[in-house]
Amino acid sequence: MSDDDCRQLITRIWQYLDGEADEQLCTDLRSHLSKCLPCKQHAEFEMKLRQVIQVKCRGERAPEHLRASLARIVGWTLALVLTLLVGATILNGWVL
Amino acid sequence: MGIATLSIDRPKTAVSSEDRARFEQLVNEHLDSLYGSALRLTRNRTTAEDLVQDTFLKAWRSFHTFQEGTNSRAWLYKILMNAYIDSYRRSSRAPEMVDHEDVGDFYLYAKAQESEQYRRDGDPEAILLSKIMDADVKDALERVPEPFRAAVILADLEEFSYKEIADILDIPIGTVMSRLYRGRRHLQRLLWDYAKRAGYANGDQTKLKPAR
Repeated sequence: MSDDDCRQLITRIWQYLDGEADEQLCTDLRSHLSKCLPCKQHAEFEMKLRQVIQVKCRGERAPEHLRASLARIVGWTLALVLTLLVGATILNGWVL
Repeated sequence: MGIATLSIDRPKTAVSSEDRARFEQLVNEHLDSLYGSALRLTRNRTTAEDLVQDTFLKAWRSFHTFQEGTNSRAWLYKILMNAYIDSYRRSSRAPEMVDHEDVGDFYLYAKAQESEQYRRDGDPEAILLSKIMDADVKDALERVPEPFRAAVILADLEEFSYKEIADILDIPIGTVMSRLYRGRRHLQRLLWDYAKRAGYANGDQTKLKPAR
């Protein structure tokens, strides 16, 4: 295989890592990587790099005040509802 | 006086408690990942919070149009991306829509291979990956210009399919692929800059080392 073929194939590694490679591409890749060590190493590098990017850029947690403000938007603050319900029950008992 | 007569902070439209429960579940399930993406997109905590709040507000308002069983994550991301694009169109700070720098056929892997220093120190790829592990990858990702950054975030971090990204961003699949290609190249070039700054570099830098 020429360098050009290798280059073209390695750019399709991304497509493969994205889970977007069709059967033909998977077959081509497997066959090429089994006999071309530089491409195999490059493919492994791209895979590890993707994992490093995910490890480093994921895992953000929304701040509590944002959570609270979203709860206000939809008005489903459970504690508030329960308090009001309990309060209303007691009030109901007194009135009757 | 009965319980039913008490008013409990109800939205203006008739919403069943079932809707609320479903929406609450949606928020709990997706809030952190939407906030994380908003942070990478806007590069600012306050702006990201506003964007996420705006997203859920819009989602809540149109929740009655949401079909049970459809992809709720993609639906929320579509709202988020629309709000994000709207906000940067409105704001005076122009987004970096044009990709000025030609990153060409840049491969981080090739750079590692070419580095004499890395070769001398052992396994070039492993050394480079450990450098990147120590680097501020979030900052590098946030410096990838738009519209490429959004595509990379949706694909690499959120792992949406090309078709889902095309739908979320309202662009053809071919455009998704080309934005991803450019965005990833950019990111790799930026990560290489970090790795170089971290002390390891090409042959030139080793020449500057004092002789032992």
